[in-house]
Amino acid sequence: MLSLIWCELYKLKRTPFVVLVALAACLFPIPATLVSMRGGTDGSFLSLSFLLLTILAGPLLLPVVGGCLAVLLFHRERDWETLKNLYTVPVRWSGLVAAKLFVVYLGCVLFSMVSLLAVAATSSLTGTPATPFFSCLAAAALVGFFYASATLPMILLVLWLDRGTLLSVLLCVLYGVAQSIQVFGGLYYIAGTASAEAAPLDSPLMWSFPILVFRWYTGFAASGQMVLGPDTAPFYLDTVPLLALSLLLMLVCGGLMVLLGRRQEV
Amino acid sequence: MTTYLIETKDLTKQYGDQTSVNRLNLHLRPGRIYGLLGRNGAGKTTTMKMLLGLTRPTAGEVLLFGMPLRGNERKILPRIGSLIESPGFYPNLTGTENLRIFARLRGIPSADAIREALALVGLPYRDKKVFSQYSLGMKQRLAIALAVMHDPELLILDEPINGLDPIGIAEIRSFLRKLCDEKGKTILLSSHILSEISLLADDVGILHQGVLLEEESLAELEARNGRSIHLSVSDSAQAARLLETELHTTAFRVEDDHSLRILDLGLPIPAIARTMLAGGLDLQDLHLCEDTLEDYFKRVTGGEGIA
Ligand SMILES: Nc1ncnc2c1ncn2[C@@H]1O[C@H](COP(=O)(O)OP(=O)(O)OP(=O)(O)O)[C@@H](O)[C@H]1O
Ligand SMILES: [Mg+2]
Repeated sequence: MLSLIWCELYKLKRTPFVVLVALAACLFPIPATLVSMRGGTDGSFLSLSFLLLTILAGPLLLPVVGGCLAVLLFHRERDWETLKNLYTVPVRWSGLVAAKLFVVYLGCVLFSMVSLLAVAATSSLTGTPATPFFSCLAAAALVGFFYASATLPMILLVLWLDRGTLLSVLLCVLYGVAQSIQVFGGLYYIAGTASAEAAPLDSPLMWSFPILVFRWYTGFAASGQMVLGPDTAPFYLDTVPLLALSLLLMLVCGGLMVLLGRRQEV
Repeated sequence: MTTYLIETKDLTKQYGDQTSVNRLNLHLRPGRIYGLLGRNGAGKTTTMKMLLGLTRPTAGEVLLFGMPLRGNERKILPRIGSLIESPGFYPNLTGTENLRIFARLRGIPSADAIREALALVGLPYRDKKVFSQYSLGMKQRLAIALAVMHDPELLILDEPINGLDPIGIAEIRSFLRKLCDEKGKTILLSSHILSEISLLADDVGILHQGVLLEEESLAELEARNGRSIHLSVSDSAQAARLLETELHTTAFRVEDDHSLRILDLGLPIPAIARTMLAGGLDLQDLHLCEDTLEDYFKRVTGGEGIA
């Protein structure tokens, strides 16, 4: 398994997309800081990271990053007919899927952590102390993990459709936009109520994946606690259910991807 | 009973209602080069894919090293090196890097194996050129390097000389011959180039529309090929009379005004020459000719030669 993961990472050598993503991760604090300076947040590092990870980068960029990475990894095998060489090693399709998904997760987690580090750097430069640093960093890693999981159904769809790279990438971008729309829809809904905590939870919008992340973030990032105190419920979410949801997505989608590949012949 | 390195039992593959490979029974003896000969679309690639477990047979069984392939892939496949259809590598990596990926997956620790494999096919080690910039022949060479890198006992090569230049073809030919003769490897190769097969193979299988028409050693095939003596003279009618009266044979064919073909190989060629000259004929050409593999191939496939 380790060799497989090493190989997947090695295959990314000389891939401009990776450089582009790394650059995007480092540049993203700029819009976040701008929005924040215009009075979008209370100016603290926590709010800034919240804005960045749950509203801007998370829903919009992470599905695109994860999705495109998966499209790249899977389509390259298909387009350059390398599968026959792998299968005769022999490498199993399930192992290949696992290694590729690992790289997708790694990409998403690194992307959100680097974004957070970049925000920490800029906010330190502008005189705002980057605290609480470590719980925010852990929260960033988890956001990457959650959104990577949320991207899996999309990757499954792309594999199932088995279309050209351009269309697949377009689908990933659309998926990211759809996630953003859910966040903004949720924000609009919350803004219509007296305070966020008091927003009624009976709207399905409050239970969409990006809003779940949104409702989880502050509680975890501020305290670093997996399970929150009873006074914050029910608006703020614990980490465990989100983790469970992500793992479920991982198992179901991963399993289906393995089944999908079994039927295909080289 | 001989144990075969590759044996198939009524191997069949259907794509929809088209039967690409039909009840194939292949037998590969260890330490030999087996040439699978067939026209485009005969089912060569499909057969090799089934041998490697890349596609599942519709019916029938594949035995490799005396074991059924199904269920023993982890034991069998590492002992095989293969090249199927076009070379498949990562476009953004160099040849060395590509091989490094597969070496890692195969558990080959040393970089020497990669360097040696590249040297064997005449590609530079640690070149800067990435695979997508390779020429067709370089890609093919890299694919051959991949097939031999882990020193397998059995090589399954689908059209290995595709895209190589004449020198390259000769190099690969002698390289494969050496692998077989000196290291005792067994090689299955497919081609639609007859001369290649006749230069390299010990055994030949002729595949036509998914059916194995012949499976024979090359020596056997050549012995069975038709042979005749070709004669070019100033007057073939006169020559025919001389053959009948002086040499007492009727086993010949007059082809046109100036040429004949003698099918009776018992006649000594010098005697024919003397008779013709004594009869006052000008003798332009007299030689023994053999049916080529191509003629044979045309005959068994009933086709108009090979595409
Ligand atoms: N995946 C597939 N789906 C449907 N038909 C296929 C498929 N692969 C091969 N065939 C058919 O099977 C037949 C045999 O194909 P195959 O590739 O084995 O021929 P071949 O002997 O390798 O020919 P060539 O010399 O051109 O490489 C062809 O008629 C081809 O159309
Ligand atoms: Mg072929």
